[in-house]
Amino acid sequence: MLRRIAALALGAVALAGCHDRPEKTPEGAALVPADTALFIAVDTRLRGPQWEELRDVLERFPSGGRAGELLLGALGAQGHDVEPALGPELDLAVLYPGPSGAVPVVLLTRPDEPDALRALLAELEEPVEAAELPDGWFALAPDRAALDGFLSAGGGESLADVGEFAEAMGDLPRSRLAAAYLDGGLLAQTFGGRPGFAEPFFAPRGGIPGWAAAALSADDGLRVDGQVSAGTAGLAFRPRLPELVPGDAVLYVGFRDLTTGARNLWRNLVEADPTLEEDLRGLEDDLGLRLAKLAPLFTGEGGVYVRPGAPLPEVTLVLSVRDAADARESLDELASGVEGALEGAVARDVEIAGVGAVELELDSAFSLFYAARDGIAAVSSARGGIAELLAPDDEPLARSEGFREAAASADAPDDVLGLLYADLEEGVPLALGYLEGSIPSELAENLLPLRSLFLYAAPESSRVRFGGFLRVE
Amino acid sequence: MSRVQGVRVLLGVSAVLAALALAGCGGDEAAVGGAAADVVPANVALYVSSNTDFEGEEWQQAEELVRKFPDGDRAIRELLATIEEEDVDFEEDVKPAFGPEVAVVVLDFAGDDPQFVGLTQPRDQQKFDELIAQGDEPAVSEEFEGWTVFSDEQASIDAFKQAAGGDTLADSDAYTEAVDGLDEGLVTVYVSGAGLQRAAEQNPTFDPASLETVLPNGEFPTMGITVGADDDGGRLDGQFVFGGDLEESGFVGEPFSAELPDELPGEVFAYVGFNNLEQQISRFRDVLADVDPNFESQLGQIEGALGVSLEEDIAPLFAGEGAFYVRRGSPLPELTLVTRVENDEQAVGTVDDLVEGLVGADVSLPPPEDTEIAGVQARQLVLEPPVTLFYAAFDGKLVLTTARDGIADLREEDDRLSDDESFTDALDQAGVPDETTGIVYVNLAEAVPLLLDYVDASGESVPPEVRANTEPLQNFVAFGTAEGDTVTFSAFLGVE
Repeated sequence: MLRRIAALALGAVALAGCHDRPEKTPEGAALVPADTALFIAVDTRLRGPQWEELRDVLERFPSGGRAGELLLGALGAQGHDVEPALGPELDLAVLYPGPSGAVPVVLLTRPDEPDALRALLAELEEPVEAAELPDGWFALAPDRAALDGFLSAGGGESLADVGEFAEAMGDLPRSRLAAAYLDGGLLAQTFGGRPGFAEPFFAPRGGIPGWAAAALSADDGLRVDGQVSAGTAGLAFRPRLPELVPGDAVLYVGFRDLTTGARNLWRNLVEADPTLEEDLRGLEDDLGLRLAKLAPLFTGEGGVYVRPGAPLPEVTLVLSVRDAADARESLDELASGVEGALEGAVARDVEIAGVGAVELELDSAFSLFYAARDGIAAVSSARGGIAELLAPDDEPLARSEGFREAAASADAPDDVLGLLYADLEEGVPLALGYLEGSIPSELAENLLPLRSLFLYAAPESSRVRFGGFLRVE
Repeated sequence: MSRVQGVRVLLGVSAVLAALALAGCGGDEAAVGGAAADVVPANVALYVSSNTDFEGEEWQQAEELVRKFPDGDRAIRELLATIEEEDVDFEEDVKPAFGPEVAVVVLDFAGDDPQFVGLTQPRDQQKFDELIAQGDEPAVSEEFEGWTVFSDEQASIDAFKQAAGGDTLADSDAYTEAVDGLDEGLVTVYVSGAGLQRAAEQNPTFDPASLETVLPNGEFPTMGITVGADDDGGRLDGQFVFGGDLEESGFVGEPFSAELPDELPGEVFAYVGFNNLEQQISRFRDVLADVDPNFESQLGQIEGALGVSLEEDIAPLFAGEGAFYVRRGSPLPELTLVTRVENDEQAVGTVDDLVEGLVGADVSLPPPEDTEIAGVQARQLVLEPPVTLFYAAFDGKLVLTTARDGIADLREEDDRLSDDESFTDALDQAGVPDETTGIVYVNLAEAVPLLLDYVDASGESVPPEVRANTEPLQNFVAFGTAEGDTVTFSAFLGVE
């Protein structure tokens, strides 16, 4: 039933009516309690400019014209006119568990034609529990317990009264398809009741965020903009490695200083399971190497990228290091350890693009290659990965049209905490090469209009701003 | 050395000299086919002339070419060592023993032990005499019209001299037609069609009538081939002169100007361009039917099972210009066949029928599904996941490909094959004319590393020296032309 409720929300996204731009603070937020764990407000004024944009985007997919039909099918509401049954806003609220332990999940809407909603609910194949609220609002839930849980949680301060919520909504783009607000407490609960577990990821920036908010909008593609409250913004960097990475990379993930997060994560993992410490010592003994010795490799900027390769794509890790000789020594020690610990593994010196490198043959069909030079250390699954990085033939990723366009479309700032770029125009056919025949052809053909995806996170005052853009053509 | 036969030394030396010349270690300018053709009898079966002037200007060029390969020098040394194993020093004994040209002549292919002679104009006659005198069975030699003629037996030299009483090879129409227009090479090979005919006729099972179905007028062609090298790579040019008009015979199509590269995507690893194979498919069907009496009935059974006719349905799909090309793909390279067709719907219908027949004959094949690719309605036939065949016809082109991109990229207009500098430069370098009977292009700089990666991934380790020594290979281009009774072809191997 939860699936049906979610499908109803999605169906509403695709089918609902036309009104003006949404308010910055969704009206439905006044109906849910202040400690709502997750709140998603969907603008259901489908004939507004945002939905025109969305339709334009959907039409670029071979099955895009049938999106509404497919969603109605998922609802079991084929043939129904859903539009009048919905108001300008459809909200999904997930509350914290009540005394019974059940998680109340409800949909809220104020339909333009209440009778249309009543009629629709009566015709649905699976019943939905509904309650009529003041001012023409309806609350819908998959079962009575969830609905009662929601209704009994009311009466106090509402989410709309929470200053952080109003501030977060106010900072999101006003023109949007949907906005979401996540309370930090839910994040802690999501990690199995061990709030400390999440800390490694956020500790450098002030612990678990108090909240996260995001908006989805359509603009010649799909855009996401959001913010996460964080005690401190963290250290941003201006990515330099894309100036070295080959321009034909189909996926690039850029980061900086993984050591702090990794150390904190490890500490928490060990707290949760002390035997891990022993396992690590055993591994280190096998390798004859303390892994902490590799930490300096990861203190600077780093990137992982994927390029087309055959029969397997090439995966390369590139690291900006202070001293290439030291980096090479660390990698040599690791390779030597692997050679000793893994039967059949052989490390041998090779020359790639005029540079001394090492091939670490893990088995007869797979080798890793690594080299270090001029402040760069690289490990790759292919010889060409090292060659193209150290002696590039083509323009680098940073200057490639696809990367530049994607970054510009995502409004990515110069300084970031991390970034992800996917060249979907090349990457999707690459992936389909492995999946063809195993996935429905309709799915495959609907992936081809995807052009690129760019995601980033950047510091902004005491928050982390994030954004992304999925380009469709 | 005592057990070494002099002839063996000479043969080995001649072979090495030819190999050196093939590798680009050749001599200075000479007429196509070499000067020895002026004294060689017109009716020889085989004539090979190697330019062996090691002091010539081209030697430096050739050395540069060889040095582009990391182990090029070593290969030459090892080649020379095969001589020196026989206690013969190449620099001291061999180079002065031969002149700027070495020719080898086979008088006749007939018989179990064809007679041959070699010809040269030694720089140092004494060295030559010492060279052939080595071994238990020294070679014999004789002066003849300014050349030193050598062989394993006097009878061969005598036969050579006797035959030389008439016209010379250089004067014969067969020879001049075979080498006419060929680029000057370091090695020239001439094979007499008449010589081949004589040898064939000596075979008791030979049926002259069978030749008429496969060769114009039932005659073996006379062949002329030159092999040369320069800074940019190696070249092979050849000419086959047949006994009748080739176009009329149906074996070779009319030369055409390739236009599909303007529409095909760039960055191909390999491209084969052809035109109007319909006539040749029909002709080869006739040949096979003549050669194998059961062929027609077997073909009929296959056609009946598949529901399509080779001649009526399949061959017409190849009536226009066509191309087969290979591009990068994962996990396997993309293979695409494109042919120009007059009727898109009819062409797809034929492939539909063929696929339906194949699916009916092989229960493991699923029926094809409709799919849309870049606005084109296509069919998808899953052969063995993830290996899939896509086919469609649009814009007057029938396309069969192993990847969606094979169709999608044909819908694009930018970055066409004719804009691809690797392709155009290679064709320019190879001297491909506007009209050919077909073109083969391989981007070796891309294809060879890919091939080696596949070998590596299969668990067979590729030695580093193989990778290093294939790195200089840039491209391979071959093409042909035809006019009247003559087929001309060229192949160029680009090295950088």
